[in-house]
Amino acid sequence: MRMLGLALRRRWLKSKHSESPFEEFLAAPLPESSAAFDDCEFVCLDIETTGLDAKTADLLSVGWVVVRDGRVDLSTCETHLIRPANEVGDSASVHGLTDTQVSHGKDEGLVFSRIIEVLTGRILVVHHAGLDKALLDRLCAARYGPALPLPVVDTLALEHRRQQRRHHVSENQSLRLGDLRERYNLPYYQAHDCLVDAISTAELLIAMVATHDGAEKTRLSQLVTGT
Amino acid sequence: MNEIPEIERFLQTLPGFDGLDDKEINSAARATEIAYYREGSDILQIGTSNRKLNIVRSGAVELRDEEGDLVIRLAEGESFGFPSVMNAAPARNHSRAIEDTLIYHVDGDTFNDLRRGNTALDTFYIRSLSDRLLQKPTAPTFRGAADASVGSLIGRQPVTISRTATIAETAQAMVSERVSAMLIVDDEDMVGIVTDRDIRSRVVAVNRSVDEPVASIMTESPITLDVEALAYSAALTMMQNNIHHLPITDDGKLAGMVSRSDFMRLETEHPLYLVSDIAKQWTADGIVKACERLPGLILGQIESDADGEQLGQFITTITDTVTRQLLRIAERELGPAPCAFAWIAMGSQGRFEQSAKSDQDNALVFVDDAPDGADAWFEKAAKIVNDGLDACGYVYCPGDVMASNPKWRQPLRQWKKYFHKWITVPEEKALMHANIFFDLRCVYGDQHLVEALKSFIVETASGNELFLALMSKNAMNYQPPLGFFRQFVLDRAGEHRNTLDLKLNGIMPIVEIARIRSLAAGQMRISTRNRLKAAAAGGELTDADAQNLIDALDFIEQLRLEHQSRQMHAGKKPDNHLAPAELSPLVRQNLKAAFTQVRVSQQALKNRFHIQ
Repeated sequence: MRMLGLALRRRWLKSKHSESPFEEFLAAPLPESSAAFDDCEFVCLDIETTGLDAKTADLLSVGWVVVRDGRVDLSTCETHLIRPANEVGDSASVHGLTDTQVSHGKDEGLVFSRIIEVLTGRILVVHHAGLDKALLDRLCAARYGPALPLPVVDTLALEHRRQQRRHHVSENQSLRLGDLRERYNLPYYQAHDCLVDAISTAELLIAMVATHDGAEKTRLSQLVTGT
Repeated sequence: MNEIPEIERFLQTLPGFDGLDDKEINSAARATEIAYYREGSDILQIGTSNRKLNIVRSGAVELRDEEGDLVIRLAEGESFGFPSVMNAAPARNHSRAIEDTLIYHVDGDTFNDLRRGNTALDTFYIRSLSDRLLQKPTAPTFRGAADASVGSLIGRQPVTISRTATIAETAQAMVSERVSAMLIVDDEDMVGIVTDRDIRSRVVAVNRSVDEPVASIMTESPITLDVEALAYSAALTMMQNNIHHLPITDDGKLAGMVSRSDFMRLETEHPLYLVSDIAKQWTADGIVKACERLPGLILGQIESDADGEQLGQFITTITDTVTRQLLRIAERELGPAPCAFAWIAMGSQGRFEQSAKSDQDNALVFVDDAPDGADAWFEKAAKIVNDGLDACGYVYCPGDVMASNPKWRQPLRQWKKYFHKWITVPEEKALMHANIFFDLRCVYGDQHLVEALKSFIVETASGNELFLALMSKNAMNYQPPLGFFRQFVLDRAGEHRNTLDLKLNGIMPIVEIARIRSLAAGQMRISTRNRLKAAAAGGELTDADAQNLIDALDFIEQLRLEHQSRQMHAGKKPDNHLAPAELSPLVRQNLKAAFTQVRVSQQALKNRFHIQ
């Protein structure tokens, strides 16, 4: 349902952006919501920021990897450091990136158009998508007008939904990426940069799909948690 | 390129990958796809194509063969599927996740490229391959590949060039396509082949202009094979014709090419790793386990065209290594030996002529002034070595010629007495059993003891006509069965009925002729070929006779190798019994010539020592 509305909105936006770099992104058809998981391509992405407020926080780095044919394709891995408008400040204690490091970063707009390129025809996957999606929406709106019109799979929300449906919610069932990975028998990763977290999310996605309905039976509509 | 932190860190810890530099690790990581398999789900089915090196990142996988028997269970960091990538063959085993499992599927071409550039990675996987192939003792090496059709070995579209192209253009295309041979076509018809070797010998070496058409240097109408043919027959075809590339046709049309390396390079190389592996084992069990790889390596040696002499040296080197390491283990367990001693190998091990099926013949000599009670140490050490060799497949000597027998564990003076008696008061029967003692070689310990004994033997034996005559008479006991060629019936008894014993009827008579002739020439050489050459140098044989016997030995040993290789491929124990039906008319003719040579030489020996 939600995805049908999205398709209409993209078609309308495309008519307004026929000359912009956004055009190709909008023109690329999205997979049907009934498409099997194996037949869709996903971009698993993670962003490090200077803060938690989507209105003011700057992007510091972004990493992603593509999942296709049900597999995490490491040849598609990318990470980009971004030069922020403001100082890194206290957030350095979370992501470990220093002002000096990010001062060598790229221009935010350049990186964003690369993100748009990569997302073309694909579904966005983020663990705990709220802040990251809000940031991408803000960047998209600033450049092209509208928020980023594409379906999102939030692995955290997906697991939460599944637990609720099965009445599995208990106070101790953490939904943090590392804890969920452990529950799906995925290996422990020590490093935490945006690329490792993107790969972690991608592995979690394929593990969740394999565990619950299997890659062949899972439909895209079962996974999409928002737009 | 961006680093991929956790993935690269994991790859770096893997055996074989630990020698790759950061750039190579990055390229391996970038060539990886990660997949998740639920407990109980299938990963690869038998016979399906597999172009990936598959590494268990977490979880566990088991491999089962076509009969459903367990081949191996794999845990984190272990890999599978590499035999099919290295062989360009379909998957041999069925792999299944037995826990929730994360697999790294590394692109096979990238893996092969990395192997080409990195010896440590290459050798690790070549060793793993021979380990994997030998997991199940009844599944002989490369049976899977050998039973497959040759079509399944074709890795890529045939690389061709028109007959009107110049030599230079052909060479350039070979470089850019990274091939060692190029098929020459006229329209769609294949008219010839050009290999690296041709460019070397027909162009560079003779200063031919590279602007000439390639047709001027190609080999016309090369031998081809149909895609339906068995991979094994492709191997044989290449061996028999001494070629390295074989174009494959499908319904008369060119379908691709296979090269010797496609199915041979894997098991053939690096037998020396076994030597260094054995030398690292400090328990008999460890040595036994290391030796399980031996049959596969022997087979690999045969496939890679090793001749009988090379193979005998290879197998004997392994036996020597096992013997030495068992003695080191004995010294570690029992403390140092009470006095100087030497471990002596005899018979085929002494002569460096062991085959895939050999029992053990050995003895021990120690100094004359050994302290009282010294033999207790030697007795224990001999038991450790003899038991260890038996466990490794060198079964106990049926005649009890082993150092554990007190009779063959003596001080030098007693050994001299033995030989003095055999030589100066020879008895036909005693000599028959003693002849392998003349093939003695020091394997471990004090070489001087053995040299002293050898000098004593030569001094005593040469010129002792009665002894040599009796030895010669014994040498007539086994005669090549020329009648065999008329009636095809030989060994009428037991399970080897209607077969020919290549060792007894062919090899042993030559060994005995060589032993006697070299002793008569006053030479204490040990290997049969060296003995024949020494006998010729000493005037005991003509050069032509010596060479003819060496040729006959080469041929019969080659026949035995091919026979044993076939048996090992079929999962049977190798033996020396050849069924006449196995022989092609050409081989039969050559074997007859070899046997005739042996007969002639036996007759000459008779005449030389005036035996009736």
